[in-house]
Amino acid sequence: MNVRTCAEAQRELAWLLAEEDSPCLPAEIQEHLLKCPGCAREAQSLRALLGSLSPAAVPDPPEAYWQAFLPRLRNKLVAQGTAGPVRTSWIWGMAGMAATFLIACLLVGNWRIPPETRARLYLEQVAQGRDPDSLQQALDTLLPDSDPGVSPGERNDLTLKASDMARALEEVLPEPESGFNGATREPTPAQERRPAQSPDSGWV
Amino acid sequence: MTPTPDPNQRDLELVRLFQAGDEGAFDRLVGIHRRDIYRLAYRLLGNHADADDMAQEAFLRIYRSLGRFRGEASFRTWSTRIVLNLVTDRRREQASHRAHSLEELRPAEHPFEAGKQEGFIYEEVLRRAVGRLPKRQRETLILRIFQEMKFHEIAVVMGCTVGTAKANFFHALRGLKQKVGN
Repeated sequence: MNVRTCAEAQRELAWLLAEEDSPCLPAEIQEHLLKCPGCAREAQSLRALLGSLSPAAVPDPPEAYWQAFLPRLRNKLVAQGTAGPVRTSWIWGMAGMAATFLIACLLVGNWRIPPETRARLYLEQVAQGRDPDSLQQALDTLLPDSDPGVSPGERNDLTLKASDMARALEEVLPEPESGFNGATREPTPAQERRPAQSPDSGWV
Repeated sequence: MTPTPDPNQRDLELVRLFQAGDEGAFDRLVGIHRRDIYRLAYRLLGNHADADDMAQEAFLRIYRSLGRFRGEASFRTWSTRIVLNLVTDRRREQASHRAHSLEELRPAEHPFEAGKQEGFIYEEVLRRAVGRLPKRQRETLILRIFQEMKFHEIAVVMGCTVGTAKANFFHALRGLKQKVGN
């Protein structure tokens, strides 16, 4: 009897007998068992041992236990504050929806800055002396012909508002002592309403 | 006659549903696998109270981890690995307090076995003998015999090769034979 062959045969026997996919032992093992009484006894005792290790040996709890299993689990999940699975997809979903909304607003045009606001911004730049050319841009914005995106109805409104903007411009811009070439300007109604200031009041 | 759906595919589909926000899919997974997980915990811990506690704990862990489950292994092997890890942690904790293992089992600790004491002694001897096996051998034996897993599945759960799983199984059986005097 080849001892090495017996050791190999017994090692293979163990898992071959447990392998339900191969209930029949390979021919070479069967041949060996026929020739070797020691291995045949080993195979018999292994079969008996495996037979006694029954999967059904664990006592099955009653049905009431299984019915309460999930509710108990749910209670523990609630108690642990695990309200839902750890997911981040909803965050990305919300971000996507917000981005879509912004893009839609931009495309529809509701997000466009109103011309009055644009003009006011230009005028502020002029008043702060940052960009003298902004005056022209403010006028371009307010004058109907310079803004092709303005509808005819809006043009009338803008024309009416242009006079208001001009008055606002005069209030924002520092008043020159004299016009160009020394020509004095007539006081505006707004200036007329202002109280007269002494030359040194406010100018220390 | 409708073909029986592949259990792995069914589980993966339920996992996907859960990951998409369907809480009911988790309940269905619990319904499908609770007995398997309870039995595995019972085999590893040896009594109902611990097995019940472990099964609940395992599903809590599964619930929290399921969002990250990618389906590289089957749900069954993945959940089995979770149970084995939890049992290993618990044994480690218990080892520092008291030796609570299968060797300590008493028939009175099996509440559902009342009145079934006949023929119980040999099974009890076997149970204790399984409990005395080295950890890897014991786990391999339990997964193969009691959880009816294939060796290639056991290899995935145990993180070893199929050959190692088979070798562990062989040594477990041999050790068991020596312990029960078969």
